[in-house]
Amino acid sequence: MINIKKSPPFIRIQNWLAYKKFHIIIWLVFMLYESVIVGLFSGQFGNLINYILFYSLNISMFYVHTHIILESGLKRKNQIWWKLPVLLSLELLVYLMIYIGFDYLITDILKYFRPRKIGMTMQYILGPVYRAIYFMFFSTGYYFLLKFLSERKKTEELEHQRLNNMIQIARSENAFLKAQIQPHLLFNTLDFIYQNARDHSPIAAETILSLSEMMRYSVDSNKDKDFISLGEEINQVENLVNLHQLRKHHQLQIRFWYDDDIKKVEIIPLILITLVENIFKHGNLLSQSHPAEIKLYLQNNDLIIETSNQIAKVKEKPGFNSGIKNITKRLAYAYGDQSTFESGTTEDNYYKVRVTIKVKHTID
Amino acid sequence: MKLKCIVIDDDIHAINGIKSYLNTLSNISLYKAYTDPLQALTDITGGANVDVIFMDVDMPMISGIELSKAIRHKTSKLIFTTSHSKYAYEAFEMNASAYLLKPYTFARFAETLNRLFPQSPSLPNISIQQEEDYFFVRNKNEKNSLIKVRYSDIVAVESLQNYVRIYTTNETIVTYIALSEIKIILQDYPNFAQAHRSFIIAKNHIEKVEGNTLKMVNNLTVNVGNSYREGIQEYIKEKTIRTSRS
Repeated sequence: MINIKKSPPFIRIQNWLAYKKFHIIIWLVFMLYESVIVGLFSGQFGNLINYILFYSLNISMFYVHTHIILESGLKRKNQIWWKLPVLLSLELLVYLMIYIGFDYLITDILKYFRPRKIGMTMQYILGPVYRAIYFMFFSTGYYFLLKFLSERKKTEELEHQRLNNMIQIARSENAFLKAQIQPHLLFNTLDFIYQNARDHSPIAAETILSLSEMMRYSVDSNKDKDFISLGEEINQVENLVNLHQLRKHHQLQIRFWYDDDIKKVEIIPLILITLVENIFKHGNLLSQSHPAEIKLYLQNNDLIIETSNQIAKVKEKPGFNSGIKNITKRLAYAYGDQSTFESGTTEDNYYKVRVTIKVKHTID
Repeated sequence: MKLKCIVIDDDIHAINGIKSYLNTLSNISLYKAYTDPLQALTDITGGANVDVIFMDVDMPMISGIELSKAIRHKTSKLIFTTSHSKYAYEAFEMNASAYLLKPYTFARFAETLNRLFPQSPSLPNISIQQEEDYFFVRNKNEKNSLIKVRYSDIVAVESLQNYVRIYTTNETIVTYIALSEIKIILQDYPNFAQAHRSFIIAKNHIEKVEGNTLKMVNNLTVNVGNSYREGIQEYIKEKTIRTSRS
């Protein structure tokens, strides 16, 4: 009768878990309830020490059962069949021993009157066994509740993660779409400007052309690619040179020497263009007798890139070395000892670079 | 026979662009231009065959792909003009003979046509009185004023994409003309030869030959390109005095 009524409401158990203090409150309520009911039922109340001792034994067993016995007993599936019964009987045994110990303590030392007689009779033993199983039952319920809640939390977290992933994917898809749509609009608009500017300002029109070709390259180019054809890079360089020429009224003295058949050679990207950008940054390109030069040629299956430019009188701009360092690093990474990089300043104030790369592949 | 072409593009400025390119070419004439692809569809399927159709891909009502399937048999060559990326383009390349990515240069336009119609190369309309020993060009650096250039003074011509730099014995002139066009003007003068993809030189102004490098009279050095080496070397050989003594 008592058992059924006593099971604490579900909502309360939830609160328990949320706040540790609820454990205490619940236990207090439980103890009060039980002692009042039993007291009223049997017409007598025990003394305080009696209550404290046995309830602390029961409550301790409750937690031991959940966190130690069941936790370790159910841990490994293939060990449950022997581990759980052993642990349970051990637990029961220890409980009985402590219980009997407490009984002796109360009747013999505290001289408190007990209606029952201590002895190894069936009647005496059944009482604590009933109590033990009674609390074990609750504790088992508590254990599974804990399990259930932690599982639920886990699935909730997983669900949350899945949702986050979906949002991420949606975002990146969106970015992908943006990258797909925007170039279309961009180049249409550039074409529109180009067509409109062509008659009145051929220079502006040409600038737009070179600019859009450079942008097309960066939009279209597959950046994951390790190797590109030298032709693509040459195109970029020509557009870059053209943009600079247009802005400087075609006064820049820069020569780009190569033969068409070299365009098929494959190379890691951004080596040539970085060298040319360096020339524009640091070179003096205004002297007709000292033109800057970029030479590409093949020699014994080596691709040779040579640049040479008179150094501008101005103080060295920052960022000069980072570009060169980057090139040497990338060359070493991609080609190892199959490539060389030399650079230096000559007595007549020229900065010269010579890169050799063993040609691995050409495209047809 | 001039090539007959049709242009379809929903952007009128794009049509105007092609029109002005076509006007500079001597071997091709515009037959009709459409901004409405559906109108083009009805007209072309019911009309006569043409040599080439320039067509935008991204148009309202009907996509360029669908339109191209319907009219492909009415034209010998189909050229897509599009601002799509070349990768997007490649997906529907099968119907087309070529594609032009907007915005494109006149040079690329002419080059594409020449590739598709090798038997009738389209040359730019350059009209010049060849009897004279000089021509005028606009000097970009002097506010586009016209300046007289004598053939005999030209040392070399350097390509700067759509511009050229003309080195004469006493000055350099930058003018808005492509090297390929200058080449046509100079082709009747045997003194001029292309030495490199970006250089035309006057043979009589070669001062010194060092391996593959030519030193010109004004200290200009020109590297001889692989494909131009033979012609230049032949000329130098002809001019080299050889002694029979050994």
